Amino acid sequence: MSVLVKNLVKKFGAFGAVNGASFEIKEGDLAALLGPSGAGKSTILRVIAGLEKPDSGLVQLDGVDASNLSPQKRGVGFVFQNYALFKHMTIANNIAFGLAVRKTPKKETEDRVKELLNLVKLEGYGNHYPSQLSGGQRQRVALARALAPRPKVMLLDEPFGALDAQVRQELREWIRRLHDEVHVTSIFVTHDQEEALEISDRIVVLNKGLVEQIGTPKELYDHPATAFVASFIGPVNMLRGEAARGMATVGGGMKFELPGSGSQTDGSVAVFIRPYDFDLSRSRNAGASVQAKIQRVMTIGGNVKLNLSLNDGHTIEVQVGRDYFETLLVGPGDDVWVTPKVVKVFSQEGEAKS
Amino acid sequence: MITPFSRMKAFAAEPTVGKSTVYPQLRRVRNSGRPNLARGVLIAIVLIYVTALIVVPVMALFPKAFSNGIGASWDAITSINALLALRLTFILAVAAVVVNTIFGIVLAMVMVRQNFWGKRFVNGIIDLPFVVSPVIVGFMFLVLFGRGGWLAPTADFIGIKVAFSWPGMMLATIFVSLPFVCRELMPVLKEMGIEHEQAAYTLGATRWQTFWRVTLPGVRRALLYGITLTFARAMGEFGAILIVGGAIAGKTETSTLFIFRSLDNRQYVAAYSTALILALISFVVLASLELVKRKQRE
Repeated sequence: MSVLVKNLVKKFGAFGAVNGASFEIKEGDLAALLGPSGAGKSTILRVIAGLEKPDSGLVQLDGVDASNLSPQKRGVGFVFQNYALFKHMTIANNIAFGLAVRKTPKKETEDRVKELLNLVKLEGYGNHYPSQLSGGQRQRVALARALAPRPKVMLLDEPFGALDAQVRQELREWIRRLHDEVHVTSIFVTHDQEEALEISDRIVVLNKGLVEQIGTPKELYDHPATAFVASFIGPVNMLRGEAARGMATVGGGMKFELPGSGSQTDGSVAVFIRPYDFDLSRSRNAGASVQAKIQRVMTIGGNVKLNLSLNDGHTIEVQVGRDYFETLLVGPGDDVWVTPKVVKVFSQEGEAKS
Repeated sequence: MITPFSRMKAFAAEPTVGKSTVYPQLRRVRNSGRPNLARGVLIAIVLIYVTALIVVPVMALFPKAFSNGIGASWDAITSINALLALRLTFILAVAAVVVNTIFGIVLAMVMVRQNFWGKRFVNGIIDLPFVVSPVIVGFMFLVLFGRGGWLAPTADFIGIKVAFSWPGMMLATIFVSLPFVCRELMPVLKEMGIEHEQAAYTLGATRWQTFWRVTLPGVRRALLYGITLTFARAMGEFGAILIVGGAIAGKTETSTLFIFRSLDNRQYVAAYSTALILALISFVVLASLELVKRKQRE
């Protein structure tokens, strides 16, 4: 089932949680609503589920307006951040709940519960109570319970938020595999860009209740549409400055020749450069080169991460191959020349300029 | 006006339930690494306290109740007035439980989930039955429904005699035991939040199904506890129903009133035996509560 959200507005008192967000999720996709806390992600999810009534705007499920449908009638499965398992019921009864309230025949219910216990790798836990399970196991029960009535959309609110790092990583990969198996349209909320990049087909980046950009992980990473997306997704250096005649002057006198120059308008700009989008050398080799002092060298596997201070006091992070770095024969305290290879420039209003 | 015996029963009912229900973790405290002496003294204090205030008075009932032999005791508690009194006690207690359970659940849900003008006022007023003396409660109902009372014409119109009759006693009993269920449920409901219910909705459950399958089972312990307290309080009521009912033997006399009258008439065997019966009923109620709890814990 496809999900369409259009001009959604939801205020809590004076606070505008969602301020006119629009996006569409295609049938069968695993999509992420990504943004910092307070971006309105969870509110949007709850509006889609019918748990929250929007002030204005539209939610369409499979092209049909769902505004007047109760949560019971929407055919969505919802996984709460804290799982909200029924503590007084066994795991099997938790999973069977959605079938029991529909008066599903006993045999059919039993089969479905067994099938789901298998799916979430909790065979043999049917007679346990939620309090006897670990966080990761509870999360999987919550998933199985939501899947039991065969929802057409799965909504997951910070599904990994309450778990420790290792379980989180495992469950993340497992959810992706599960999605490929079950193939139900799924939307999950996260503030962790890595999580979103790793498992989703599409990402909706939200900020202050508005959609910043929608795209595949690769699109967002390589072509961020706004300064916010560029700064939020992936490691990046941001430098503020002025643009004039194809040159960006950032950080007090340091000049970058802008690649693809000519299209920029003059004015204040923010320049974004990924740590691995720099060339490093011992001597000046191009117009865009700037001199910097090595502060710290961190060797991580085959790569070397460097903290460099520019002559205006700004610090940038640069990443180069270890083999190459070792040919330079430099270390902390030495001066090097850096040349940005790929630069994203945004006007201070946030729109992409190159 | 509380006889020594009804007071005894009240003690027997309340502290024991309180400790074992609300603080199941007490058991674990035993190995908390306190110095042995301090721990021993604390335990001794608790044992002496409980023995002096609960066990001794209850035990004292036994010899007195059977001082003329078991036959005499049996005759005393199966006399027509004793049985009628016991029956009325039961009817009043069950009525109080039924009404205050339903009303208490509704009240607790509204107080926890809804915001409305005057909520704080209502919240304060719920405790009124705890702080107003039962005698005054009985008097209030008498003034309301007695000769020339505000509600007397209404009661007459409907055809119910409230003052000096069991409907008045029922009202008084319900009144004095009103806060228990509500006050037990409110903190538990608050802590539970609404997420479980929302989860049930997304799984297709109607509000009614959600209430019966999710909300109520989620608070069942507190509810059971509240019901037990309501029942115990209603059974032990004396002052309010004495005033509003008038204690007419065989008509508006409950077991506590029967004990009081028996003492007055120096019929000690009847008084002690009935007191023992009431204490026994309280004990059975407590024991069954404990049993249900233990079964749930498995």
